[in-house]
Amino acid sequence: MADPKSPDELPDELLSAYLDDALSSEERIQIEQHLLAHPEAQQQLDQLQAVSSLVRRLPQQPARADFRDSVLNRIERQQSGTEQIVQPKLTIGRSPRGWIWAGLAVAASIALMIYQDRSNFNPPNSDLAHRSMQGPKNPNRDLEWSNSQAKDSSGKEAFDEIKVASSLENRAPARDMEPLAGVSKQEFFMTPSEVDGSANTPTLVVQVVMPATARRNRAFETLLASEGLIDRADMEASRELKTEQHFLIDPGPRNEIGARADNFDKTEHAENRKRRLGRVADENIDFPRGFAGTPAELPAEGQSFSDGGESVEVIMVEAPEANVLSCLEKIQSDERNFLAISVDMLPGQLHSPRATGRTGETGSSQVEEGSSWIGRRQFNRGQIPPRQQALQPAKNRVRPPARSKAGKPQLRGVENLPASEPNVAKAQRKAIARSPSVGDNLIQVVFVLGQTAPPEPVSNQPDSQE
Amino acid sequence: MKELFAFGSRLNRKVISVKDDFQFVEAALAGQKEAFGQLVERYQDRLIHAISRYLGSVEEAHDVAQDAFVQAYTRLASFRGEAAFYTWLYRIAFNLAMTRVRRRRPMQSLDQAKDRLGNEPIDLGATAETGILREEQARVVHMALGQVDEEFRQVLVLRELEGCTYDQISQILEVPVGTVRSRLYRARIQLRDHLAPWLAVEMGETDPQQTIPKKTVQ
Repeated sequence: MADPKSPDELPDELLSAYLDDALSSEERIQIEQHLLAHPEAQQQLDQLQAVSSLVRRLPQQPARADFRDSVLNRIERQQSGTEQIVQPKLTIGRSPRGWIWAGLAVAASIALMIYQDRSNFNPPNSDLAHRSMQGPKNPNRDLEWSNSQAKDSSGKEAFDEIKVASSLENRAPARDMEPLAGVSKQEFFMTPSEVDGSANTPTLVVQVVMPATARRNRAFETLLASEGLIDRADMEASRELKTEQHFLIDPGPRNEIGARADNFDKTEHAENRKRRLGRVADENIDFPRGFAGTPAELPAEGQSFSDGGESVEVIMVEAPEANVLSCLEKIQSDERNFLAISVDMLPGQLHSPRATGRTGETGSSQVEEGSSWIGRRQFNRGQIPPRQQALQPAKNRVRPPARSKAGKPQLRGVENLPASEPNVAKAQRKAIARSPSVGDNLIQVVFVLGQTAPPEPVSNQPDSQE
Repeated sequence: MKELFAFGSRLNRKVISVKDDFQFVEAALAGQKEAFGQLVERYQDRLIHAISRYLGSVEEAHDVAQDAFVQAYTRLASFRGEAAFYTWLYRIAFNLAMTRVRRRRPMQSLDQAKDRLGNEPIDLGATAETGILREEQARVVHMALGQVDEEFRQVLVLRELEGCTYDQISQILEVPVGTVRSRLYRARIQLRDHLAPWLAVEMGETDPQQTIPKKTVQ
């Protein structure tokens, strides 16, 4: 058997390809000679042929009789009722407004939104945390915890928010935020117990800005993977999540974080969301404003799927608290890949009346708090700073005045930044590190990934050119 | 692009001319929803057939196909006619289906998959003329297909049910042709192992009535 065409040297898959007439002429000749000389190979070929034949003879699975109508009805529903769901993808790509927004917001950030149950992660001094991305050598940033929503002492009712990082102050044009009508936070932020009966699993939301190159290199996902927050499969899933669920960019005011996902399937997706998110209503995910997401288009023909997105993605994972915090630390210390990060905690909403099963006295106020969360994102102002600026020490920058309307309690944390920010920052960092609850508690994490603006972020805005 | 177009032409090899599709697309873009309905009607069966064999579930295939059609409608304007409509649609649908499978994977053991396949009523189509044996065969093949690794199965479905060439599969799945070849081979080998008794029948070696055990595939 010194024959070069001995069976050992012929990959079996050539037989399969031979069946499909997918061999080069050279290979085909080789195989045919081989088959002549080796009856057992011929037998294998016959088997493969038979397999192929069996599959091809599978009976048709015709569509249900009402399938066509159901498709058209759904299109109709989406167009008439919630047009936003169907049309935004066109809007983003085609309308000037969409491009403007994409230029600003898509370029703006990676958002890692972390809502957390206070009972599991309860910083002693809950103030709005602001910390610039100064890296490890500049720990004296403005870290601040805010508990401006804590209306009572129950803690469970409180609405904590940490914002780590804030080289993003100049990020987006200042516009007042308006809670999206009809959005009910508790729909989204159901407690896990409501979903699956398990103990509360807090959810965190973090927002991070990355340079485009780091984003392309998936530095963020790599970090998450290295921290054990995700594995590669999840990285892929995140892309798919983006592309399938159509996280829509709503060119709303500034870059508030939010997303809208349509086309959720009640069974499969509900399962998935339960696993990944922990608390999601059965229908759509309705963030207050569309942020998280890309046009989520299928790529043009011939274009790689994975290249199709803009620059914002959503990743949702569940991970031990310690891992999450470790990850955040690394993000903050990695100036090269991460320009900024903001972290939010939303325990109050997790205990909405519906979520906790409580009804009555605290009910409506909790819902209000839920929507006030939206406004608390106004800490981002102005244009996206160039990276150099973003990395300047915060003390060299002027924090823009809070432009919120007076009386918006949710902005208190921004308006009343204490003078001793560095100290607060230190204290808060310690608070994080020392939090007795840091441990194996699971945290559900919503990552919304984005990147800084491309060199000419508005170059393709039709209206800006004309 | 040429490949895709060739693929599209092949996919549309039955009665449908690509040109008609374009006309319907144009009409749909002009606001005639009914034109899009025509496209749905035209391709729904093929799409659901292929997807259901891939997902192992007719029910899920309907869901995926519906999502795909709605997505297709939503982004119809981005359909540039470089490929056939069905090619384009199929890519949307198949990516949706793949996403679904991949999300399902961590949550589902093989046993569960078997259960699901086993419990789900399978529409066997017109089997009257071919009789019980044919019906049983289809059931077994369907179940066996469900046990083939997902990444192999998708190639198999594209090849056997959609008649794609290796190049076309390579483009749809965005993997090298060599990978397509390898996966297809593995898919067939896996399927062969699951279907051994049926293969004997298929190859005309034995009398099916005597050979085929009641539970061929667990």
